[in-house]
Amino acid sequence: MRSRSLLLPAAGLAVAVLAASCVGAVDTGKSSSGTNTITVWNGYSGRELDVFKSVVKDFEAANPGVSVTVVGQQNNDKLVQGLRGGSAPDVQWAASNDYVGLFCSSGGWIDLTDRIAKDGLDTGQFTPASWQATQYDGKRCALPALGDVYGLYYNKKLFAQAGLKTPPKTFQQLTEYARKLTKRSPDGKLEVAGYLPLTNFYANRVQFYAPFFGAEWFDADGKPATAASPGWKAYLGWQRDLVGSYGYEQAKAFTAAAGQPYSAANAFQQGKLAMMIDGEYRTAFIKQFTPDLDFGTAPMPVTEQKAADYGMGYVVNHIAGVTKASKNPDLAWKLVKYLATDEQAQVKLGNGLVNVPTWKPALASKDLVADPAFKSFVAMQVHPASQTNPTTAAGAGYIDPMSSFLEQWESGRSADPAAGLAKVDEQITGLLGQR
Amino acid sequence: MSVVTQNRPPAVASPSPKSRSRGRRQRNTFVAVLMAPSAIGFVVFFGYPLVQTVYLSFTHYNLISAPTWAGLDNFRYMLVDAQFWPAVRNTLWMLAILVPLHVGLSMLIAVLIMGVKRGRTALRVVFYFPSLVPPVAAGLAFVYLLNPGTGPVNKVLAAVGVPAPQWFESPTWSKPALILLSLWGVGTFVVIFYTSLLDVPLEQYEAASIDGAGAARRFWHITLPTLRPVILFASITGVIDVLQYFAQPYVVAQVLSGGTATTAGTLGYPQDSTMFYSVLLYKQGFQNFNLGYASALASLLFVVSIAVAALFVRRARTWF
Repeated sequence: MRSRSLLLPAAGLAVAVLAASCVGAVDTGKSSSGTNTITVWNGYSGRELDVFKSVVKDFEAANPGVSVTVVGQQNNDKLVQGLRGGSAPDVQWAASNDYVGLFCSSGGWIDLTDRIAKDGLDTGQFTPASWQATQYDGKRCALPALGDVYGLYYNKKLFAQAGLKTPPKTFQQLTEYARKLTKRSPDGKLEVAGYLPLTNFYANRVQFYAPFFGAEWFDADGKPATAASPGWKAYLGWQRDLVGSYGYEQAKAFTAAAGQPYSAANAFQQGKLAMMIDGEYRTAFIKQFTPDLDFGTAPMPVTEQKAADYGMGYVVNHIAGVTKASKNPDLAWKLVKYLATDEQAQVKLGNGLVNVPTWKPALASKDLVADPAFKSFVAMQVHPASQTNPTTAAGAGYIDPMSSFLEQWESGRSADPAAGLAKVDEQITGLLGQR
Repeated sequence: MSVVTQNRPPAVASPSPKSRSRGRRQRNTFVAVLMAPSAIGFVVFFGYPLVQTVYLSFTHYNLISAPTWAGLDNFRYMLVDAQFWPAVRNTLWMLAILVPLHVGLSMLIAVLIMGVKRGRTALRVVFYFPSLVPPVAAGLAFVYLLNPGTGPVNKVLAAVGVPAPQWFESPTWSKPALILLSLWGVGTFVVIFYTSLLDVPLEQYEAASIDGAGAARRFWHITLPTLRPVILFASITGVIDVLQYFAQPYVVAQVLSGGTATTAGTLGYPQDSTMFYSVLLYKQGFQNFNLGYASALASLLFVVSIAVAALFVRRARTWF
């Protein structure tokens, strides 16, 4: 009795405070109730954030009386937390389209279909891969705003030494070139690797390769179908063959010693890697760290069956959407539309952030950076066969089982591709069932 | 028969029941006010999240939409999740290897420091200092030190003709490399063991020596019984630390699996060999936004942690 009489007031107080704590929420740039004031979150910082802010300034200048607050350094995790709490801004800008399915299916970002139709937006002016990436299950809850396009980088000096003149157009050619370009020390160690497709080394992400092999993740009904897709078997065969030509242990030793990807020590920039897959942003790193590097860019090779699609690229889209928390969705939509479809805004963002615009008029603009290395990626961006990965309600989590399997496959720990892919399908099915 | 009459002191007027209960109420209120901050903290920061976690473990929840009831789905999914069993296996491996090594090594170093005549303080500082280094910084440092191609460790090994492992790049060697990283930070327990050793009466050692006991017997019969409570404490905290093992494997996998401007590194790299239970929990909750499943993993971890701690406490007398 006595102890209970002690606990009751304390518990009462605790509950009261707990109740109070659930009412208030910390405000970090939430939707503004002011009619002409909105907030936008993005993941940029430093110089990149300044570029973004300057484009927003242009928007404010074009819309007198409008005020936009820009909050940087908001990664996907923070975007989701914002949508969950009471602190969501009016507009969110995500640096990849991985979570389109999550934003759409949850209602975190509002469906823009009616607004697009009402404003008569010419959606044919968006590049195909970017337009593909901004809807889920019939809802269009984002506009593509920029793209990271992945293609082939090759070292012209090493090519000349090996008697090679043009970049490879098929994976069979890529393997032949890689063997010619590879150099070993007298004790057999890799000094220069022609092309190293080890999973997760630099930009070797399995989803980046899938389109070039015609490897499908899902069937027409949306069911996992990697085991039934010949493209995956082709990819597995090519990858293990090339890794095997170096020797898995040798290849791992090489990648372990390779410098950090975003530094001057990057193996390609050091002339230790003759070819690699990477995004257009690499051109800026090369300019900054190794300006004397004699290199070229080209579309990634494709399989012989997909020869007609040569020129395509893999695209990771930056996307912008209006959150469900916006108190001024009309103005928020206006900003999203401006960022995604204003030619000068797109050009300014593309030039400033060294990313590829997604709006065709901006891609054709004379003001867009005319660097030949960058232009390859512009061409890939507009290519009709360019692709990104499918959107699901589980985000890009379905890629993980394939990535794990590939690590085992390339090391020789897994020898049965059919069984491995069947297991990948099973795991993806389980993952999607979690939604 | 004589009647003895006792002279009692005059009775003090006892307070009335009313004022007695008022006084008790006031005292209770005062105590309750003093306890309130702690009680509020417990409810807000432990009780509420715990209840919420248990509830969410029976739901599908993506952090944005309202949770939907899923019954035992999340617990069933553990059985088919490709990374669940590797995470459990890796965590058990770490429990079996790291905890005994951690306790044993810190105790050994403490005993060795005790045996030193001069420079004890300097040695204590030397061994304690690494434990002050934040886990993220320590992880990054070991990634550099154990780099198979450019790290100083492999250069030294090669110079003396020892085959150099691939360390964090190899699924076979990644966990031993993490063990090295953890053992580098045993300083906290070295200091705790050392201070316990200071409590051992020197007379006991002298008496044992006179009776002909060697160093090993003195350690077994005098030092070890004194250290038992500390060994128990170190073992329990060691087990709980391993169950929550996150920062180092997270950093190592993120750094070594590269990543692009828009793509995070691969947790568990290489080949899920650094996928520990807490890393999986984080990945499911905050990379896949599958918070229902992450909550189920957290609930299971809580139950296991409580069970392990209870087992240790109950069996302490037998084991230590």
